[in-house]
Amino acid sequence: MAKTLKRFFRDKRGITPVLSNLLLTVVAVAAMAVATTATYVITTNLKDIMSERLIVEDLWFSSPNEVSIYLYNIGKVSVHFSTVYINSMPFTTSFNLEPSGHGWLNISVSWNSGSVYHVDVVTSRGTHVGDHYKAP
Amino acid sequence: MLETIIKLLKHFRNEKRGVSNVIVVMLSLILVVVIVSNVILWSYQMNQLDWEKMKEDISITNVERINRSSWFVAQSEYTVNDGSYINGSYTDTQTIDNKYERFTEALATPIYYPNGYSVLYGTYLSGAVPGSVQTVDSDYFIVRSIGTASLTTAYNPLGYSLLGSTTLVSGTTEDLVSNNDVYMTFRSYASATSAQTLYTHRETTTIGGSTYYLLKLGGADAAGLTLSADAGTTTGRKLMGKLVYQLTGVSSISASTWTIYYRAYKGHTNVQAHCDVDILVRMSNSTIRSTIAANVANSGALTTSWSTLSGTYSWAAYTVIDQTDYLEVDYCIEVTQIRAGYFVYLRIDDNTLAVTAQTRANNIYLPSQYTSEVEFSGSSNIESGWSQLVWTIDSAWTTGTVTVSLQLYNYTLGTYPTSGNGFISYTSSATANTDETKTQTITTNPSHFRDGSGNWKMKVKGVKTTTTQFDFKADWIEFKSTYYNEYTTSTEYTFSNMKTKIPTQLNFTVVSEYNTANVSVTIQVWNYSSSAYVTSGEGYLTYTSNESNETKLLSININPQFYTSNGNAKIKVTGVKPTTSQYLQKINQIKLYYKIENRLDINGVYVIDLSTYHLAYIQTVEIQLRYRASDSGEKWYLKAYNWSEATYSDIGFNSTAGHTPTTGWDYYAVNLTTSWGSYVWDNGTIYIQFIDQGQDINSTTIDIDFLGVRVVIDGTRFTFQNDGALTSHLISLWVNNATNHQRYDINLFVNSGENTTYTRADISLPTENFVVKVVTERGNIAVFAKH
Repeated sequence: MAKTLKRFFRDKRGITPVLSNLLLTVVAVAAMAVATTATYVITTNLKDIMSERLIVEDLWFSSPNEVSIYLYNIGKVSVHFSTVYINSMPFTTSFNLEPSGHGWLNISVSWNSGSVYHVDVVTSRGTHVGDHYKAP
Repeated sequence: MLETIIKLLKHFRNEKRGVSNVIVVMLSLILVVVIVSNVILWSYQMNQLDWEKMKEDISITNVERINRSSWFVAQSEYTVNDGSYINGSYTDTQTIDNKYERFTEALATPIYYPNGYSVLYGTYLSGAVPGSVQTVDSDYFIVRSIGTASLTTAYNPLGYSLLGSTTLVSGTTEDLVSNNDVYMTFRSYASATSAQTLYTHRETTTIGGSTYYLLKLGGADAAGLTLSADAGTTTGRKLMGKLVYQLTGVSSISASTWTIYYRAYKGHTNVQAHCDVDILVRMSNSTIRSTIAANVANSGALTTSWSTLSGTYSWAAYTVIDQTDYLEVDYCIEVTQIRAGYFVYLRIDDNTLAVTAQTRANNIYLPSQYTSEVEFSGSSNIESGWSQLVWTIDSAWTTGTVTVSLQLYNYTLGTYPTSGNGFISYTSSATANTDETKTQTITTNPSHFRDGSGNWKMKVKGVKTTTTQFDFKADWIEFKSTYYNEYTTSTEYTFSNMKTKIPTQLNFTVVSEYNTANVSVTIQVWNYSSSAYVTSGEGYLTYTSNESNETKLLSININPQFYTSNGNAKIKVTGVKPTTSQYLQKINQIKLYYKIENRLDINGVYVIDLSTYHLAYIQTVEIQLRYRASDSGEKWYLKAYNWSEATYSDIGFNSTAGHTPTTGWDYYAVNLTTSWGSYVWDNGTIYIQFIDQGQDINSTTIDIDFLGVRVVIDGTRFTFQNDGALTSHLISLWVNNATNHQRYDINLFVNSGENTTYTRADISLPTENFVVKVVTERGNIAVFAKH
């Protein structure tokens, strides 16, 4: 028995092909895992972006220094509003709406009566929703 | 060809170059396909949403302020509390269109039948209430009459029969009529005999001038008497003494061997003598009726000291011819050798001697038991329905402690009872000649103790174990029957759960039948005011039945309210007939027409749609009626159920004066003002009552064209038009003006092509310019602007 084991460990023939095959298998599995993960991430983000829908139900120049935007999430995913552009002036915000959720998003900004403002609400996924509004 | 293919496959199998590249490309393609397919799927879904959104075409065609809701009308039939429904339907009162529902004050006459009964006199047989008394048919409520008056008659014996050898001593049945110590006396007879001993006594009796010693059944009771005869002069039979025993109560003396005992002695030893007897029957006039024997029962030779000697005699059976006769035994001593100066002696009635040593005659069969047995008979009535029978015997016995049995013949059983009804047994007083009254009352089938002709009989038997004959002295015997000579049936029928409204008239109808004619029938209605059944006037009726169905009416017009109480009433039907037979009262129908005053009182149920007109936004409630009255003689009122007070009321209404009709179509409206909350239940239910002013002479007819309820609000009615091809789901509503942007959640679906109004009691439109927007679930917004 000991003799057999000793001869087995002293025999160097065929080791290189085995090692190379094992190494190639590990590399192939790793590469596919990375590819699958990347696919999942890419498709999930793509799905969320494609499923994002929202509207501005109402926009109210509620006070001289505030504009209130009533948003309604009509899409299929949660929405996080990151920035509101009023006449290209960004206002950072953090406002979330679940699917079918709605609520006021208040922006502190002074406005002039009779002026037209372009209000652009941007989500964290890059969806824009906005329009021109004339201040009363 | 095959070889070429095989060759190519082998070449392919051996060729390893590029395999990994192919696998990598395949996997990459799979990933790309997954990504692309997902993107296409999501894109399709979202594009569909966008497409639907684009196809949606909702618009607001009108926005208006409203301050009244639509009318809420009855959704179920009105309840008529007073008055009568004539025709139409509650649906005819939902719109103003001259289609109406008609009611009237006309005397509503509900019909009631008894639903309870109480048999006051009689026995319930069959039937039920109200089932058996609702219609005139073959179904009756039947009660059997019971006796309510009775007649008692006493009877005394008219005859008698002597049983056994009982004999009449004295008296007649006329002596039995009263308890007056005047007796009818019967003498007992010997009913059993036994061997007895007749002892010689010194007491004497005289028969035909001659004196005789007595023979008695009891032993010596005196100091004794020595009878002597000369034994020194001549020989021969020397008569020592004649002793007699009267044969009273003895009908015969059976054959037996008598033993005659002699207590005797001789004065000197040289005297030779023995005892013997002669036996005969002597009549009471001293004449010898029969010489039975002579010189018989010779004893042994006398001794010189007292000794008891004996001899026997074979007695042949003897029938007593006359119980006044005497059995005579002549005791003799026959001297066969004399001795001068000496005597022979016989000792009698010496109680110092033992009975076995006394002079006596033994084994004589004489009576040991006497019995008196008499059957009395009489007559009575043959009336049916005997309720009671009392029979009485007052009597005495000339001896004490007689075992007596009194029996009354049971004709149904065909025998004299030996226990129970018709049987009395007792032991008479220990004191002879003591009057004792024995009586028994029979209430169970007393008529069993008479025959079909009314005859009856009773037997008196007295037995005593004795050697002395006794008499039965009957003083008073009575047979007293009681029977009903009047039968009554009376049943009270009760009505309940009737209307509690004051009646204007009560009409009772009683259809009844009796299975016999000439029953005096009385029908009475209970007067709750006097707490008694009416005995005259209205509510009271009498008649005599004729053995057929008879219909009787009782109409109460004066103060009919006295005859009802809390919806209850009762009537009593009584039948009385002087008769000795039971009869049946058969009630076929008892009906009460309950006429109510000229009133109309109806109420309906209305339900306000609180989902549209929430309680919080209701300002008040209005009730409107369009009606037509046939006369204008009284006012009419609208009331509502006050849930707090639990009654109909118009407290808090803008008008509580009622409305006087014109006999044409009239509008009558009331406003519940600020008290409306007391009249509307939490679920929006409101009960409306339409009621007349009160009792009057007119029977007014009311036509109701419309009766509705509406609420006063400050709300808004929106009209939406869906011109798109898809159903729109409206989820929010905006009412904006210069100072306020107000959002309202709504949940309204508008079908394609439909025009829908939507009312909100909680939305109050601005008074100046405003913009109304409605948002659909798909994200479209319709705008209505008012400038």
